[in-house]
Amino acid sequence: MLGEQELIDGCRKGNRASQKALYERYCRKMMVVCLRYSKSSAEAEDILQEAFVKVFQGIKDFRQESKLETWITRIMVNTALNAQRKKLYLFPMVDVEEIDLPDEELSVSGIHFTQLLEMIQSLPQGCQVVFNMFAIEGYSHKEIATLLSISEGTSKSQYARARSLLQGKLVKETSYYSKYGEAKI
Amino acid sequence: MERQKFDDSWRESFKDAEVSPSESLWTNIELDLEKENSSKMKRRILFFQLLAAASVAFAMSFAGLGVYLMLESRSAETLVATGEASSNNPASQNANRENQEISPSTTGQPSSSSMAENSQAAATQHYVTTPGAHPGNTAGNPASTPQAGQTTTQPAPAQQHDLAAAEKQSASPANREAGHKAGTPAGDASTGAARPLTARVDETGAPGSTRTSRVQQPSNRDVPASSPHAASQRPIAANVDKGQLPPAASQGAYAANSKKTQSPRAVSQGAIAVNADKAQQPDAAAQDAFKVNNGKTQTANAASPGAVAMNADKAQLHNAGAERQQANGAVASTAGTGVDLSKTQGKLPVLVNPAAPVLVMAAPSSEPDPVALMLARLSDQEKQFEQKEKESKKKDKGTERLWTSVGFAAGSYSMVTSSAANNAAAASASFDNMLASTSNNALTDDVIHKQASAPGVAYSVGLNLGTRLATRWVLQGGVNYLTQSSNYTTNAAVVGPEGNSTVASINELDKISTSGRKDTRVVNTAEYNVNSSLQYFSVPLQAGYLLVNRTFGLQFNAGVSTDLFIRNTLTPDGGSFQKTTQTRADDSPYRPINFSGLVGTEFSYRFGRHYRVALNPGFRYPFSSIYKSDIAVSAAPLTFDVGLKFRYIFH
Repeated sequence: MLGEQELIDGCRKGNRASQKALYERYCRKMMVVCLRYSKSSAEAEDILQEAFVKVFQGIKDFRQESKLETWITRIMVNTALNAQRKKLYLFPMVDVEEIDLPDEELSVSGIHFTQLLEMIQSLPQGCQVVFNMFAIEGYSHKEIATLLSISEGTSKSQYARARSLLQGKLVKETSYYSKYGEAKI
Repeated sequence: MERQKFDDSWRESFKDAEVSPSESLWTNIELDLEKENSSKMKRRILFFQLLAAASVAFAMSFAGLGVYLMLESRSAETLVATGEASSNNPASQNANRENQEISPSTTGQPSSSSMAENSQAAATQHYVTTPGAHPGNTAGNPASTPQAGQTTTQPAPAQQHDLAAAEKQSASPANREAGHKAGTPAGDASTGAARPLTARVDETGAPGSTRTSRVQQPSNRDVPASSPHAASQRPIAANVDKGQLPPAASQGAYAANSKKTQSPRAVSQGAIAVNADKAQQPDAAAQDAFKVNNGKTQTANAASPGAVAMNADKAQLHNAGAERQQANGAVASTAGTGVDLSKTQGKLPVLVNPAAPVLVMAAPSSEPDPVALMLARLSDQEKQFEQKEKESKKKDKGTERLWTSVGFAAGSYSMVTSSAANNAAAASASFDNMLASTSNNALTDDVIHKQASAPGVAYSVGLNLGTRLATRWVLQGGVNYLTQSSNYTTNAAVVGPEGNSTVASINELDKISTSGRKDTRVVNTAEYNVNSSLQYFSVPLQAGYLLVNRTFGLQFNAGVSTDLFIRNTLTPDGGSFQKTTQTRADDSPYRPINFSGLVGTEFSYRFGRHYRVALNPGFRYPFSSIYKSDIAVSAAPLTFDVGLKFRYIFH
């Protein structure tokens, strides 16, 4: 099992074995990242493929100021955003109406991540991207607005809409659980 | 806060989430990486190619510029030399005299020892200084004329140039030997001294060299002839090739001299410095020369280090000129004796003695290049193979050795008949009986006649096989199904004992006659139509001659067909009468086997390697009547049909 530094050094030299080892170490986690930003597995795999190529080409410039996983995740997100940017261009995000959110936030614990993925994938494109970037990646609305060339207000409203939609779905799931008493996988 | 918890819960859910991508994804990534590497390599190769091309272009342009400048400088020198020669003739005589002084013992023999002696003499002579000489006399005033008692060792520029020219002519290995025999670095210097005015071949061909080469001649003008520095330089230079100079002087002279031959075209001070050995700095050379000067002269101040260097150069020129004169056999004598320079006056030195170009043909290699041989053989074989393939294709296109075809033909026939009434010899007992058994001879005769002579249409469909016997002969055979159908009207019927009425036909009449039954009779009825259908199995066998055997084909066919009778069906119109069918039985009036002659043409078109379609118009005519010989009537249908065949060519 190669250490991270060995992997990085090997990939910088263009060693195919090191590249494959790095791919195998991170491909599953990154696949989840790509699935969160896409609507289908095929689309996610396309993003994953393109992103890993960028990883191997750009690893020479990796200054190791952050963790390798963090760096790779950022590349995945950027690649996914580039792929989604075309769709966002065709269907630009606009401010959405304020939605009354329920007082109580529902928990997602107990729900398998594949179901959560489905919920995210079912969101409208803009909401999906903003929710992923804000709630999961941790970008601020300002950063999201800069990256997606939208206003901060749009980012906030899209996030709010995403949250409300997800909560609605969670409500359904929760009622299912309460009815059947087990998690649906 | 709640929102934060909501986001955190989502983040936590995906923290350790993993989904395996498809197995082919890594392969795709590898392919993308390989593509990127190959494109990078291509870009790199292109860059180096462009770099190499730019370098070559730069070098060639640089070299071209150098050659251009060199040629230009040579032409300028030529013009200058010509101008000086024409304008400074009196001065040249003085110069000649001086040269005589310089080399008193010249005997005109270009021997190294004599040259050495002359040089020494010149050196001795050069020690006569010219007091009161003013340095800094300008160039072009070489006739700061030598004063009485003074020997100026400064020849006029024209003479200097002549000397230079003569010098070059004498720039021979002998001179070099003289230098080498001196056995010192000054010996090398002497080589340079012996040939100061020879064209200096700069190693790099840089323009600076041409510039330096120009220096030498005008430098003679620049430096005053009577300059003590010049005078002091001359002995130094003169002694250089003797190796008699003190080390500093020799070094200075050595520095001032170039290891290479020096061009007489040095014009600038800086260029003179460059006249020094390539590796030397001009300042160092000039300074050395200056030092030498100071060591020799009393109080002279060089106008510039370069001028001092120029002086040294001129001394060398002068000395070399003296030696050259010796080599050329100039009459030399002690001071005061004129030197005959007529041969060298007005003539430009030969800068370059180009050897006559010799065309050297590359000797043909005794052994042929094996790779070239192999390639030639391969190309020959390839050509032969292509030729064979073309021929086989051509043959293939025209030749069809075995094929099968399925065809359909349609046509019409007319009966060629001869009845017993017209042919008494054909009358048979049965016919007579037939006639006798009926109560109405005319009616019966009418029935027979109408049936036997009714024209009709013929259809055939069949499968054939063909093969090529020779280039233009083919044989075809097959199996066909042939039907001949005719319609006629009749007004007779045969009534049986049960009262059933059937179509009156030759069949029935023949049965009646053969059975001899009286309860069956032929009766007259109203006219009605009857359709007669004869069916045969036909086995044709034809030979064909190919008139045209290309994509379009034309073929003449002729052959024989064996027709096997199947049945004859008479179908009356209306429902009043029953149809009758006569099969191939003993009591059938039809011949079971008949032979027909076939003749026709075939127009065909070949499409593709294995397919041909053909149109076959032709005639069929039975050799004998379709009826048995005991039937008095004779009928042979002459059929004309046009067939369409689709042929599949096996090979």
